[in-house]
Amino acid sequence: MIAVTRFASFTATLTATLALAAGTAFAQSGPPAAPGAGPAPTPSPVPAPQAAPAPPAPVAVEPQYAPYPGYPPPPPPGAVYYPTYAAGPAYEPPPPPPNRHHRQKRDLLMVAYNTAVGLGDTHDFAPDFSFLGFSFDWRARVTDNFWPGVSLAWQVLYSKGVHTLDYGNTTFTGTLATNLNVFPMLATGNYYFLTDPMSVRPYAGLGIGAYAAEHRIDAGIWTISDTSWHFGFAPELGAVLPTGRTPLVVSTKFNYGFASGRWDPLMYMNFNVGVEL
Amino acid sequence: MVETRCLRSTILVTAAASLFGCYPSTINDASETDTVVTRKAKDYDYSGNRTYDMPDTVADLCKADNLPEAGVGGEGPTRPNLDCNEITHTFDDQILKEISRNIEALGYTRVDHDAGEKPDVTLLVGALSSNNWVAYSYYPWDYYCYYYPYYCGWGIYYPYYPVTSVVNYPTGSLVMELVSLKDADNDEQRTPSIWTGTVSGLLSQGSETAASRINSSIDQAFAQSSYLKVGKP
Repeated sequence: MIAVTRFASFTATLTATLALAAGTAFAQSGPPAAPGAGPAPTPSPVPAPQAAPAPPAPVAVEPQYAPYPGYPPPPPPGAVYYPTYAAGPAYEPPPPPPNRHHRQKRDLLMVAYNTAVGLGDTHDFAPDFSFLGFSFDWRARVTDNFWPGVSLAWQVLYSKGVHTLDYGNTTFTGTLATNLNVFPMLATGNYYFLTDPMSVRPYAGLGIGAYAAEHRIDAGIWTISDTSWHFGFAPELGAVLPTGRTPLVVSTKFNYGFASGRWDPLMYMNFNVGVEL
Repeated sequence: MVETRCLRSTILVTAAASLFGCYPSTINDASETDTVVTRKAKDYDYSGNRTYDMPDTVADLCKADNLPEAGVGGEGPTRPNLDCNEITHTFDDQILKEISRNIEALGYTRVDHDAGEKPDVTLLVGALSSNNWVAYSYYPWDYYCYYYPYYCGWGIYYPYYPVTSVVNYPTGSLVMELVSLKDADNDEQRTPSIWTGTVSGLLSQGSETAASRINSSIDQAFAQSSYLKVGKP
């Protein structure tokens, strides 16, 4: 009889132990408490199972808590909690401000020395290669590539030699000294294919406007002089060379002035070298 | 920025002001003033002329007494003030020989004036030296009457080209005038000029190269007047 009673007591104790273990495992399946939310939660006490009827004497069973390795130890009372964040991207310092000299200007003035050779009727009038000419080009920046502006120039074409000329029934032979002073006054559009001021900047331009031309012929002891005005255009190709603070400019320009009144068309080619101010 | 714009404006204005009136090509030597101007008669048939004659002197066209009262063909409003210089006759023989050689090279045959033969054309040669401009196409051929008594009192007219040409003789000129006797206007008693050759700058005194300049200029006058050739249509 005593053996049966001890067996029943042992069974009750084992059942209570398994129930506690099951409750602990169930608690593990729940979501973990947020870190820092406070002290680690205390598992809810599991009510003791109903003892078998008429046990001989109650057995006090202390719940056994197995330590859980996944939780840090609770901070001591009064500790300040500092959260940690994920590391961001590496710091890159901003680029230094660009040098003022490297930036595109708002406008520019090109002063150039011009040489020229006449073509067509202009060559017939003054065939020598001319070393007398200057030009002034002012250009304003609309975009880094497009620079419209104004071009004022002066070119002398000249020649001297013995010629025979026919005017109707009159024939003239003698030394002819011819001078042609041409003053182009053009509105221009210029496109720079490259815009880096520190590199070579090739450009193409087109000028349209008026040409004033003073024709003068010294023949023997006579002088004949007359001025004509022509509408004309001048396509241009050039390049700006990065030669320090004052860039060098080389260009070539074809000038054409349409026939005006009794005057033949003006036509000559410029070869220019200058500076960009 | 304001200073920069002022500087640019100053550069532009200064440059523009300095640009006007540049004439690198000029006449700067006396020999470069030599010019030869010839005028032919419009629509005139030269091929029918075969004989010529010419005086044996070079006329002084600048004698005041020989000048017409008016500048252009005797019909102008004013008498020109030529401010004449005395011409030299040092080169007369050379001039006449060179002219004769050239016109005979064109096929003309000289007639014997003393034998009373009448040429188709006569070539008058004169010289003029003055310091002023003169608007002339009419020359006072004073020896015309002396050399051709038959035509004494006749005038020379210019039916084939304008008589209003402006000519300047500040240094000296040699004028060759080809007059057609074959086409004389008997009713009006005048003979037409059918060719004029003017050589300027030749008679400047003291020029060592005057002789060669005279010959080359006369040669050029006939060289550029090939239409004078006998028989050429």
